[in-house]
Amino acid sequence: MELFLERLISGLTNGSIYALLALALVVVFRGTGTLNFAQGELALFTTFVAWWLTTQSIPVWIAIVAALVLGFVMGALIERTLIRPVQRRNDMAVLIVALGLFTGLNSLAGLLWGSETKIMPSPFPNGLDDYVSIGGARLYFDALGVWGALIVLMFLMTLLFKKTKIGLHMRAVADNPESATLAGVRTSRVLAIGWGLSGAIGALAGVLVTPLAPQQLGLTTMFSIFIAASAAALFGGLDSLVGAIVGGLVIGVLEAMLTGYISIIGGSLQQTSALIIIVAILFVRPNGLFGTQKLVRV
Amino acid sequence: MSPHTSVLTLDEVSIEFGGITALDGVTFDVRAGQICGLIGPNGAGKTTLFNCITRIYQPSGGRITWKGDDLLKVRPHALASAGIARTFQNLALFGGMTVFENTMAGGSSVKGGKRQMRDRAWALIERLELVDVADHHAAGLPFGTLKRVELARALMSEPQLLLLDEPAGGLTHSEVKELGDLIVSLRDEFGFAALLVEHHMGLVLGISDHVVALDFGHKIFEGTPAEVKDNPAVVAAYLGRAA
Repeated sequence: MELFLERLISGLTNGSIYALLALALVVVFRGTGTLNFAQGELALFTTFVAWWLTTQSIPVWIAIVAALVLGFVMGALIERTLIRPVQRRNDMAVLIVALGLFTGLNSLAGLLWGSETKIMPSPFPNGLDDYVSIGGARLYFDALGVWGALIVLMFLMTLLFKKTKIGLHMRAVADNPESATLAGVRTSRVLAIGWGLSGAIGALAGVLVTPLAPQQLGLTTMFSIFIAASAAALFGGLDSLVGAIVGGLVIGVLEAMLTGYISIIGGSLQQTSALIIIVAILFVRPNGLFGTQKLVRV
Repeated sequence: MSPHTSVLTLDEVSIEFGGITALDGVTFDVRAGQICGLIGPNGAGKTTLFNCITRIYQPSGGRITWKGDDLLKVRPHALASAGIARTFQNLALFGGMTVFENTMAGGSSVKGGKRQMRDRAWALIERLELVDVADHHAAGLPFGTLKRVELARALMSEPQLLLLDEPAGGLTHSEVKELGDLIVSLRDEFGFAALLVEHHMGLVLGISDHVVALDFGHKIFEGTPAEVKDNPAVVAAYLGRAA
C-alpha cells in the first residue's frame, strides 16, 4: 500500500509538470493552430536564466518570477517577429520555425552556461525530512508545491478565460478568427498575449521540475518532458485545457505504475509504454478525450 | 444625421478573380436609417460586394466611402468601432461560448466599463428574446435562434450600418416573416442603416426602402420595391430571357 501511494504521488507530481507544459501547448494551439515544438526549450532557457540569477545570490522566488516574466516576453516576441510573418504565407513554415527555435534555444543555453548539469534550488523546503506521511507514504513538500502550483494556475486560467475581456477575446479568436476580427477584436494582440502566456506557463513548468531531483538542470532535461506533455495535450484533444491537465496526470501516473509494477519495463521503457497506451486510446477516440469534434456545414 | 444623407457610398467598385470579373463598376448609396435590399441571382456578386465592404477583399477599382472617409483604408478589426457590423450567411458565432458570451464579444470595440457592457448585453438579450438560452452554448441551438444571437452580437457594437448576409437562409416561412418584422422594428428603435443581401424576394420587397439588383457583376436596377417587380431586366435575370 505504501509503495502504491508513493508511486501514485510521484506519478501525480511528474504528471503535474506534464500538465503545465501541455497547458502551454494548448494555449498556443487554440490561438494559432500549431504545435509549438519550441515550448520545451523555451522553458529550458528561462529555467537556466532563473538558475543563473540564483547563482548571483538573488532569492529563488524572485528568480522564478523573473523567469516567468522573461517567458512571457520571449513568447510574445517570438509570435510577433518569427511566427506571424511566416504564418501569413504558410502554416507548415510555422512548424519549421518552431523546430529552428527548438535547436537554437538549446544551443544558446549550452553556449551561455555550458553542457554540465546544474542544481536548481527549490522554492519549497526540500530537505530529507520535509515531508508529511500519508498512510506510511512520504509526501514531500516540494511535490506538494508542484501540485499547488498546478491548482493555482488552473484557478487563474479559469478566471482569465471566463471572467475577463481579454479571456473572452482569446476564446473568440480561437473559435473563429475572422468573425472575431469583424466583431472588433484585435486578433494580432490577442495572439501575442496567448504566446506570451504559454511562454510564462512553460517557464513555470521548468522552474518547478528541475529542483525535484539534484543535477536535474541540463540541456536534455526538457526533451522527455516535452514529449510527455505533447502526448498529454494530444490525449486531451489539443484544444481543451481540462484535457491537457487530465492528460498530463494520466501519463504521469501510468508511467509511475508501469515502471513500478512491471519489472521488464524498468526505467528505459517507461515513456514508450505510456505512449503506446495513449496511441491505443486515440484509436478509439481520435479527437482525444476532451477534444472538440470538427463539424463542418456543407 | 438627417435621414437623407448617404452614409455608405460605392463608386464604380470593381474586382476580378483570375479572369472572372465579379463586380464591374458598381455604384450606389445607402442612406442613414435606410434598409437597402441587394438582390440578384446566384453568382451575381452580392456576397463579393459584402466582402469588399467588410474588407475581406480589396477591390481592384473604384472607391467605397463611409461617412465621407475612405473605407478601403480601414483595417478589418476597426470596422466595428467605425460603426459597421455584419451577420453571416452560414452564421459565424463562437460555438464554444454561451449566448451571453457571444453577445459580449460583439462589444469588443465599444468603450465602457464591464458593468455597463453586461447591462447592455442583457438588454439586447431580452430585446431579442434570448433570455432562456443566455447560458447555453451557441453550438446546438436551433438555426432561427442563432440568427437572433448574431443580431444581438452585431447590435452590441452600436452599429450605424448593419450588413445582413442572407438572414432568411435556412428559416421556415413563418420565421422569415418574424425576422423581417424584427429587423424593421430594431431599425426603428436603434436607427441603423442596413444593407440586406437576400434571395427571399418576399423579405426584400417587404422591408426594404430601396432595392439594388445585380447580375453578373453589373448593377441592372435601382429603385423602390414597388418598381422591382415590373422591371424587365430584373425579371429576365431571375426567370431567364424569353427564347
